[in-house]
Amino acid sequence: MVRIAIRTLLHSKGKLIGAIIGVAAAGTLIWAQIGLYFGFLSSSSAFITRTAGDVWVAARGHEVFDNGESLSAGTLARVSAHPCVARARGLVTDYVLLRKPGGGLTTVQVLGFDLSLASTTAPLMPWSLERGLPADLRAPGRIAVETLDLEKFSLSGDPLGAPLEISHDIVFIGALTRGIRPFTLTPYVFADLPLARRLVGVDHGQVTYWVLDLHDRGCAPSVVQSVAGDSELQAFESDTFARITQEYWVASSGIGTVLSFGALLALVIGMILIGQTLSAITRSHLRELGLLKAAGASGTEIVSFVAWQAAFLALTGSLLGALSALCLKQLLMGFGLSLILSPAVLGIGAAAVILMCAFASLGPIRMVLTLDAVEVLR
Amino acid sequence: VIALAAEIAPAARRYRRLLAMVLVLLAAALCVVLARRQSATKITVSPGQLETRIIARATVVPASGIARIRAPAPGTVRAVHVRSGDPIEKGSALFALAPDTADESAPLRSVLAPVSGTILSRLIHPGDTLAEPAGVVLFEIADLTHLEARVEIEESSASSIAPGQPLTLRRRGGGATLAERKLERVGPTLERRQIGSSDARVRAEGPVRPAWMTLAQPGGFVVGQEIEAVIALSPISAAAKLPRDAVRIEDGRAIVEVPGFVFSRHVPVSLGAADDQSVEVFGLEAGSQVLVRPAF
Repeated sequence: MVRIAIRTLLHSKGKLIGAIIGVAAAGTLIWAQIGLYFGFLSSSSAFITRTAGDVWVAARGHEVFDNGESLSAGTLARVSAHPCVARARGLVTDYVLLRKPGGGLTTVQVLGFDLSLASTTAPLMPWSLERGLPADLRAPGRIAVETLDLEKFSLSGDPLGAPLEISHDIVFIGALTRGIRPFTLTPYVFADLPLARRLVGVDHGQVTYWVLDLHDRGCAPSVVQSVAGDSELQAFESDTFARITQEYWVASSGIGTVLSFGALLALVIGMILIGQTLSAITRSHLRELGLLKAAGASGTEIVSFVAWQAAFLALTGSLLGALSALCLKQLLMGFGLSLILSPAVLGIGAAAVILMCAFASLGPIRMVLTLDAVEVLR
Repeated sequence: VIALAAEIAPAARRYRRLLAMVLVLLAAALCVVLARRQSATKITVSPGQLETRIIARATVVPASGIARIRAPAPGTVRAVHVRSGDPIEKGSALFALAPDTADESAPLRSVLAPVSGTILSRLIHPGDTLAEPAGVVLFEIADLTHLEARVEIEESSASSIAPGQPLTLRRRGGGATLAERKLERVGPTLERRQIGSSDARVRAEGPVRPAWMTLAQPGGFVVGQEIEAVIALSPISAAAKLPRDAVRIEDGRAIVEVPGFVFSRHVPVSLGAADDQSVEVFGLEAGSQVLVRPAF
């Protein structure tokens, strides 16, 4: 039956190409929506995951990474008091205004970290560089900005060494990051801790977060509990803090709903398209199927006619859809959008496409099951 | 899958032209990959010296300091004899002050310049009333024929500097070289930062160690000009160093591309000191090879 099913499908070239394009387009859209969703999740909490600490300490009442409040220098001793704490790394972040060289203001998010730790045990920050090295940011007044944001800053020519006015202070581009953009697309400005403090206007020793590296990650709940006793501070395990930030930006903002709706829409349209194609092919071969039934073909054999066609469309459409999703990923990278196509995302997308084809074949299957051979052959 | 393949095989024969196009495309992609592979340059990791340095903020100051003149007594300014930028000799009159007394016939008091130099700033005008003589600076005078650069070295590098170290002065942000000198004096203690001290945000930064060197005049320097000082430290010996372009920062780690038999592979390394051309790497032995790709 597989032979007959596939040959029949290949015979109707126009319908076949239309159906494959439909499945591929639906698959691409599904993968793109799921990939973008995971991309947004990842970029909204990228700074937390890239910093790779075990516990994050913030001011009490804190909601999300991007809206931090300053902690006094004295809090360092308090957060380091737990015997499990191996090291506390200070982080400074806030939104400030940048005056573009050609005039006009734009908001940027300053991210300050201790560069002296960069070459030892902590991950390198910024974590992806197009030009320059992290150590270049130790020179006075040096910052790193995203290559994709250079246009936003109205910079032309070689950007390395170009001056920018941030918070009424003149700073210079010392390095360029590659693909580091937040969920909100507000440009990041990476700087050494003292410069970041100056730019956001906090005192020597003050930070927005203490990132704690523990001797043993297993004692993270105990450290969080001990910080909870402090009336000014609250602590989160890194995973929890990343999840809270993701929920704040992606889930609460409604972007997850929009993307889910897009994926659902793609599923429905694909299902209708494939259902129509399979129905049309089945309808045009009802006489042959009736003949087979009259000759003694079982219901399963007749159903497999439609099932094999659906499987063929699912397979070819999925492959084409996955390929175009990979191309789309490269394209979106140029715009600074992250489309994550991990094995899990590819698996979820493939399952959705198979499900879509299975549902689309229900109508044609019902048609062949209720087929009256005598009626058709009359 | 086998059954499907068997079915597709006859169709494939029918779509020979399409398959040929696909094969041509694949061949073209392979050519691009090979061309990219050829464009990479092989670099050998080698031991060598690295020119380490400290980059610090600096400012141009008068070598003999700035004389700040305050009112000798309360009173009213009757006349001011100098303006900003005027040269002045020691003992010349700066302004005339009418003492704040009930006796209207009291003589005007002439305030004289304590040093020779140039008036940097004049902050009074005729008619001004000077109520708090001790606090308010009225004039700033400095000898502009002898200038020097004051360099402020961050606390973390404070112990690395000493008189005699070669130093390059350049414009801020790594601009053009302005002068090449040697450090002449180094402050014995850490001090409050002065560069940018008019900015309230100075609290955000820790103390610095000052150092000075004389500037040739006329050298195009202006008092108050902010510049950058690059202090050369003793070169260090690196067991393995690479050109900066050979190292990429990805996913929070430094990696280099090592050639393989067919495909190259990425090897994580740790970074040490760096100068303008090279960077010290740990995790690679001298003699091993890495690929450097041209930037696209």
